[in-house]
Parts: sequence; C-alpha cells; structure tokens
Amino acid sequence: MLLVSQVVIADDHRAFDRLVQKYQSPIRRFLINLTMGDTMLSDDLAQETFIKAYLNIRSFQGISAFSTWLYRIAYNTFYDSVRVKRGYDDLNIAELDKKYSTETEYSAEKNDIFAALKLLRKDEQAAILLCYMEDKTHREISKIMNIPLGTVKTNILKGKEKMGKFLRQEGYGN
Amino acid sequence: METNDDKLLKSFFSQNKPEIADNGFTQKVMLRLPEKEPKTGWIILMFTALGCLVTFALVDVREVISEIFTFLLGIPIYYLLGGFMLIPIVTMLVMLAYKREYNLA
Repeated sequence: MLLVSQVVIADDHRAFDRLVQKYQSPIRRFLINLTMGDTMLSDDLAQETFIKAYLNIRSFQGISAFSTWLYRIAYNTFYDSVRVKRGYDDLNIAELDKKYSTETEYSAEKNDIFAALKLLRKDEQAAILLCYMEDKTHREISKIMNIPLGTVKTNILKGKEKMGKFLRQEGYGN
Repeated sequence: METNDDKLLKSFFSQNKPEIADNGFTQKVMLRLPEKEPKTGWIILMFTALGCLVTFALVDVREVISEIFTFLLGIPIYYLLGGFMLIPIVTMLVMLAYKREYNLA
C-alpha cells in the first residue's frame, strides 16, 4: 500500500516499477490462461493493464486489495479486447470461445489446462481461474468480474463439475 | 464443505501454477508509460487567492456586501427559488459527466 501511496502522491515511477515487478507474474499468468496460452496477446493485455492502472491509480479507493483491483482491470482489458475482436452487438459466447481459443504457445504441458478450460464458458473460465489458480475468495471474484456473488458461486460450481469430469477422464485424481 | 472436485481442482491447479519470469516485461511497461498531464490546479488556486486579496485591498468590502444584499432583496422571490433549484440539477450533470470516466475502483 505504501508503494501505491507513493505513486498517487508523488507520481513516483520507481515505486510503480516495483509494483509492476511484484504483480506481473500473477497478472500475466491469469491472462495467459484466459487467452489459452497466447503469450504475445496476453503480454500486450498485461502491459495495457498496468498502463491503465498507472493512469487511473487515483481512482483506487483502497476498499479492496490492490491485487483485486489489478485483476479487475486485467479482466476488463481482456473482455474489451474480446469485444473489439467480435463487435459489441453480436457477442455470442459459445462462438467466441471457439474462435478466440488461439493457438497454444505457452508450453506443451499446459495442454490439459487449456483443454479443460475450453470446456467452460468464458465467465466460468475466469471464475475457476481466479478461485483455484489465483486463490481469490468468492467475494473478491465478484468484485473482479463485477457480477453478483450468487452468479460467481454458480459459475464456479458449473465449471468445477465440467473440469472435474474431464480431469478424471484424463486420469487425474486416481 | 470441500468436495472431491474441489480437491481435484486445487491439486491440479497447484501443480500447474507457474511463476512467470519478468524477462524485461517491467521495463517494457515503464517505457510505455504515458506522461501524465502536469498538475496546474495550484496555479489557478494561487491566482484566485491573489485576486481575492487585491479585491479586498482595493474595494470597500462592506459597501459591496450591502449592495449585494440590497440587490438580492430587490429580486422577486420566485426568481431566487428558480436559481436555487438549478443548483441540484447542475450538480447532478457535473457528477454524471465525472462518472463517465473509466471507473475502475
């Protein structure tokens, strides 16, 4: 929080540098998983996320954790890029999932994650990733995705069932 | 209550949770940071304060205030009420314009 204050009050670039260093790994990991391993796209989105954070840091009210706020920007940035790709009006999530699942560049051993995530809807993917990969609470996920707590729980429940079934078929958990 | 799916997913994701090496990412972000607009609010504030001081020094403040009151008392009451009713409307419009900024918090 001290680093955030330094950026807000003194526009301290060194403090912001340290903030980027601290949070780049979880934010980039989250975006890599959302883009199904497209590292180029996810790095562009991550850069955009941090630039937006820098420009809007005064609107961070400190009600939630700084990381929660960053994840929210990252999620919005990802969703904005999806909307730009497909147009705002005819956003068909099922079609989008197929089209937006770009080729995997990240690493071969991540194939099972991406194969499992592809079974889920976009909002289920984000909720599952935030819950199990990024260890966020349901309440934090609700803030990040800007959806009601009940919807988060439903997304996680549905996503969990689909992924659990797939992973057992692939021999995990035996 | 933790279900089997919970345990399975926790174990699966914990095994596939890489730390991403920076590899110059932070540097790229720092190089792309746009310049923020310089803070000019203090200049406006300083000139306003200076203007007020000069006004107080040059003008008979008591006379000005009494003339303002005389003027206000001369205005029909419904004009004044109309003027006051504009305040919440203008405030609301200003707030709406402010809210249109990208609210991330």
